[in-house]
Amino acid sequence: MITLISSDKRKFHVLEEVANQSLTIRDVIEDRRGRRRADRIILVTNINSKIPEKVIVYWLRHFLMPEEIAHASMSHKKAEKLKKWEAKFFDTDIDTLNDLILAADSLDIPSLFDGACEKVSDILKNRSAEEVGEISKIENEFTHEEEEEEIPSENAWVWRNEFA
Amino acid sequence: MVQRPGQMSTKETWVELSELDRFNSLPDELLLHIMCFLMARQAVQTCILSKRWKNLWRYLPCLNFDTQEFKYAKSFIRFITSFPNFRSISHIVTFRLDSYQFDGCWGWANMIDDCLEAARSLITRVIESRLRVLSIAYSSCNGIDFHYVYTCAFVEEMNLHCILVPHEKPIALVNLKRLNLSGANLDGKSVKNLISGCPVLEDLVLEKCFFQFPNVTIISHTLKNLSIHGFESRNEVEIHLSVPSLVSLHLTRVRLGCISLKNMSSLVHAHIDFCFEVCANYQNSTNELLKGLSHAAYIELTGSRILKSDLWLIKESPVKDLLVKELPNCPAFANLKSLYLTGLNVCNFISPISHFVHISPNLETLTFGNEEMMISGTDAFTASATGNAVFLVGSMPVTIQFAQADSNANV
Repeated sequence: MITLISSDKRKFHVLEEVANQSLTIRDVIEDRRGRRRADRIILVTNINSKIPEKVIVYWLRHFLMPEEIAHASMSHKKAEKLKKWEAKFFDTDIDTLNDLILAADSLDIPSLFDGACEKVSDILKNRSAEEVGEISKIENEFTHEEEEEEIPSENAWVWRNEFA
Repeated sequence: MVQRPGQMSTKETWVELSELDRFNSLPDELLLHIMCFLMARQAVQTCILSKRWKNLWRYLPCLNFDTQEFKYAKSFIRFITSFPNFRSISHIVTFRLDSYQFDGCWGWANMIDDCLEAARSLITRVIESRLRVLSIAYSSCNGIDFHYVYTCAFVEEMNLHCILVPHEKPIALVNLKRLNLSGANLDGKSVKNLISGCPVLEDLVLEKCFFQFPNVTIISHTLKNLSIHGFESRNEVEIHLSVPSLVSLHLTRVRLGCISLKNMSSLVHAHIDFCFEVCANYQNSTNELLKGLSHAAYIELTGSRILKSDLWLIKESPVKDLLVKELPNCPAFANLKSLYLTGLNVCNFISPISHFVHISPNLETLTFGNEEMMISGTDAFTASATGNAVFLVGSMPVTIQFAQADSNANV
């Protein structure tokens, strides 16, 4: 059992085999193997407490689904279920996804990282610049002149579409 | 209401955090990773979001071109030819082109050659750099000639959909580890050319490929994983596999009698799913399938029975035909740990299965995945099986587990 401590000092007790899904944590555990029990506490400083909960839920769900299952037809069904579960898991607001991306990046959890990134890109797809700005709180600091003339003319090749 | 200072400060930082421009606070490399999931045109269009985003797309390591993003061929050509003028393409790692529109959509039909030429000039430039993953998809089963992609030296993974595999034009994919071909027309010559052109190929997936008469042979010493899904052929094409390094074999919808396996000494996982048709001359053919699986630890043979409604006939699955014909000549399955069979009426089929169990000394799990199966004959099965077995018969699918000699028998 190892203990993760978030930046707001909350503790999370996780089985080592479960936390091993983070390559960062796995390396830390590997480095500290054979030392005292007090060392089995890992500070995860750059993450607030809402995110570890989500990450651990994600770990537990994936822990139940070992990558190598003896029979392909059984694993196929399980993979389908997992896909559905992941769709639900990632169906959240952009700020949470954003934090999940940061957490997955620093803890090195490739599948979580890719899943969250894909979801964000889905949210951004087919939206106008204003919409994206609103959703993701990106401030448009272009001046009026830049917006009207410079940027469009520089990038005309991207936008000019509707001519036959 | 009294609040302890500690609590207060936590709350305050939380509020501050959520009011921050958090999405924009992600580091560039993470934003670039998100942009990798966007289509190329949309990724470029992010340049109007803010000053920071203005040049971000120029560093994007992945390019996903999809012709569906463009209404007209002209705008596609303009985009694809302008692209290299605005950014360097030397550090592109992943390249994808979905060219479903090339099939002659309205507004595209008479520009296909120009489109192909524009795509060619971009792809040849991209593959000269350090490209790792290349995916090209086309819609028609006639295939399209992208022969120049078969000579890129750096690519490690390639996904080709409905792209011609050349017969004679040289193939030199010296770093290719993973190849996914779908909807391709394959014959003996092109497969031979392909396999000899990929000296380090480990994973090969053939999906809905058309295999040409009379036969296709895959001989490789590097392949570790091979999957053939959907086996399309008009005549009874034979596929011969001889892959001594193969670890995992996955065949779906194959016709019994069309596949022969040889030299499978490294095999661990084998999943073979039969379609209900069996080759006409299967009973007389010398193609051997089961012998090739004798080294595997996990074997799964599936193929459901079919109920022919017009004749009210229940046809046994090809798995039965396979076991009846080939099992008597098989050597011992020394490594077999787990066996999964479907489409068998076990009650009428006890002796071949118990023979299978006899020649598999390390078998731990035997599973029958068949909803309509009745297990009324378990006693008979106990007697004919190894005798040191525990039978755990749960809800369907029924699992029969073999444990140590001193355990008690329960049904």
